[in-house]
Amino acid sequence: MAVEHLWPGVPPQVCQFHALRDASKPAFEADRKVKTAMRKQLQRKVKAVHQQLSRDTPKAAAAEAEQLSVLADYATGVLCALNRDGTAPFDFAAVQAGEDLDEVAQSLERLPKKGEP
Amino acid sequence: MSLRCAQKLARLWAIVAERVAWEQQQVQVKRMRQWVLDAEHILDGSWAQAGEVVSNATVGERLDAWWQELAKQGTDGTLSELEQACLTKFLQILANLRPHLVSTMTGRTFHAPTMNWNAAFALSRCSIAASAAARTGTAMYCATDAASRMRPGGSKMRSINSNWSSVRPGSTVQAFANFDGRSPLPRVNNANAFASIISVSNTLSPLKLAGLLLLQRNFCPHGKSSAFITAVSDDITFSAASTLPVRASHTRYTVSFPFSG
Repeated sequence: MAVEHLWPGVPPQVCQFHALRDASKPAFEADRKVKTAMRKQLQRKVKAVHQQLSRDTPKAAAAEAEQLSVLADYATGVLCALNRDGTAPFDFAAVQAGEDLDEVAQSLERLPKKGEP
Repeated sequence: MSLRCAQKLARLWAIVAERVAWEQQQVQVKRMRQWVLDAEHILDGSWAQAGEVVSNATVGERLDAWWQELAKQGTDGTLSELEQACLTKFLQILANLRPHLVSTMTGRTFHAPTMNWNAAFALSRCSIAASAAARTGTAMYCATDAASRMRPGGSKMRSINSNWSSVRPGSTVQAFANFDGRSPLPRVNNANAFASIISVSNTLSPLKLAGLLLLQRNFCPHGKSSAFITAVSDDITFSAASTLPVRASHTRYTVSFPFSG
């Protein structure tokens, strides 16, 4: 009200961050749904693998235990990617999770070839 | 690699490979995110070449051209139904906020304020204070800032005297006056609104004469205030903050204005 009295007819400027956040809300919601679907589908499976790896590692021989712990780290990485939270308007969780999983997949491809991560 | 490790690796690989089921949706989301990044890229002026003047006018032109291009994309049938719905909403909000996102006022058209800032703010003071008193139970003398509510280590901004007339057209309002007729009580800080010059640049005069309004981005402290209003100027920026309680919290108004007349 005070601003209108001071400068009648001058449009008050709004915060650009919040304007973009409001404008991108539907897109952000779509992204959130994709990420939620991915997490629901994959998280349970990855957790199961992670638990198996954690259970087997202490029982395995030293060399194998080291390899299993490396795989456990990969599983942890996948879980972290699936549990990312986005922040509107720029940080989209599903996009970031997809990029993270791409990196994990590429690294997993190299793993059997080189024998190391 | 042991057999057990190979099995676990294969299992992990198979799980990660399942992400392709959402590949199409991710591409869509990525494309939608790119709209936001493009808008931000235009608004922040980082597209300018070295030595290029970035003004509100140039940013506005670029934003409008980009908006129209994006609107065409929404109608050419290349986007999915979800993308079209999101794009429609995105463009609609940007179009509605267009005058408020990039100021169209220039140094020539941005006129001087019609009254003293303190007097203008005092207009809303009583209603705000009454509202705050009703909701929070704060005493009226406190809500109207008759007594200092300055906390230890609070704002160090000093109140300044405006160069403009302190007389509001149509009525006479003494700066810092109480509307309930009582004389101001002695207090540490007697101002209704604290104002301070936060930036002054005389080097922009040629641009001001050319009617260009240099780019100034407006942000508010995210989640800190329920209202935050800014107006932009070309060479002198004032900031005024009020500590009057609104919605049982403190609301901050930031106002920038030119002296160009």
